[in-house]
Amino acid sequence: MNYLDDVEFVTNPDPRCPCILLLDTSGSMNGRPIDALNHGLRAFQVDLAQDALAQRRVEIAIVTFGNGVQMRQEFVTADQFQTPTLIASGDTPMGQAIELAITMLRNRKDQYKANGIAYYRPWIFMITDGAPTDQWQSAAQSVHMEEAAGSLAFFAIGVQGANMQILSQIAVRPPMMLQGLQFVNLFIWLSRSQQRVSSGNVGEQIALPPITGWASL
Amino acid sequence: MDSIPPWHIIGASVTGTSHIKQGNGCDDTHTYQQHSNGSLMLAVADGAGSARHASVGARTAVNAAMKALEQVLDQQDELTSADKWECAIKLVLQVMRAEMEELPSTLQETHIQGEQSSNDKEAPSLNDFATTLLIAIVTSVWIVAAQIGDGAIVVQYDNQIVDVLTQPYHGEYLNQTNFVTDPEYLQYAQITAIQRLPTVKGIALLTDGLENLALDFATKAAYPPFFLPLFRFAARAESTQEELEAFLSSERVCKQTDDDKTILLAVRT
Repeated sequence: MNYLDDVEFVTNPDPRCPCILLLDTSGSMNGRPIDALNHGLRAFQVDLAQDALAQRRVEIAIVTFGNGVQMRQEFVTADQFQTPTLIASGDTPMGQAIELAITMLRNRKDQYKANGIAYYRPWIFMITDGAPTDQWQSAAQSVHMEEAAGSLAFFAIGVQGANMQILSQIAVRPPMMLQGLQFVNLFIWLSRSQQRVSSGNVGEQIALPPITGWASL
Repeated sequence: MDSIPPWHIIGASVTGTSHIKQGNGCDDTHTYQQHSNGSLMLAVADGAGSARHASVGARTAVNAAMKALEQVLDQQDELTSADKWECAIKLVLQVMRAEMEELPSTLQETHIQGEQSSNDKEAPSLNDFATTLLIAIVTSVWIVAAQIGDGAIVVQYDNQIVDVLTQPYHGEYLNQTNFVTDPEYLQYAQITAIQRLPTVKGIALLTDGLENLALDFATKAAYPPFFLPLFRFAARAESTQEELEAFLSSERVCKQTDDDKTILLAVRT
């Protein structure tokens, strides 16, 4: 008989790859931009659904800023993720939204640790077409501290009209400018990136897919 | 000196499905040797996926460690305490590291001599050879295990209990670990020396590709239903390396892990 057939495997919980979408829903996004963003979110859900591993490992949360800061979606694995339909109105409390996202990630990591769940470096992925209307300097400082500690990766995407100069002060990584309203391509890129990150093996620096097709630096 | 009973040793390293997909080879390697005094030396290494010359690094690390271990075993009668073993193993790791440090210039010379058109234009650095390393020695008196990075070394006792001697190290994130090429590599080394209980029956060294199947992440314990059949397999005289390779490449295993994977098993007969 072959003993190798008898080998059984541990059922460890899937490692998680948390990603917060930090989305500008201020009044200036109203009309075609918010429609394109909603469309992009649906493409994100569909694209993630094609990767069985990512479905179980990528965890998505959504925070919106515009007419206040709202947690639109608590962390859920990609297979549970349902795209919301966002509505644009109000000003742009970006600083407060960033602080909330950082706190949410800290709490999530604590939950992973308490449950013996391994995880990958979390992402915050911010999209905006404007400039913060609240105090953003301390949020920028938090982002810099968290990046320096390796606690997260913060990406800033500007849509036409965004104040790229402020974005480059908030994010450590150079902010990227969305071409037109290429939200679908952007979110497919994000989905593919998360698929790569969440399948990363030990010691592998992940090469992200090229950003051509939706952005310029 | 007590005589050492013969061992059955069997090991396999196979390429992970993600490496196949990306057109990469296997960066895992394993080797073993029985010293003339009967002691057993085992080594496995997992070259870092991000390193350009990971497989060269992994092979150099195990070969250099084996050579140094052999010299340690020439004087094993003097190693009468766990502390002395720890010092000896640290020396082995330093010798191994010195050999690793030669790699960048050696490789560059080979390239220049062969005038190979390499697509790696930059001069290689030590980090391009990053690898983990796990080594074990079994003498008539001692079992000594040492590890830098992830993977694990597990022993089996006669009473079917399995126990972890060295554990995987991960940083905060799953895809982080230490390598023998890191500046502080000696500090990262886990070294365990135990007097071999008469009941020790087997030892297994595995790379991180199998961690998720073999170890309980929450308790860091070895999973007996994984290891015991493997030890039984290794104890059987007619078992072959090909069978073990086929198992590691099987769909059942690859569904759980897409990384390179190695297991090296030694069982007292």
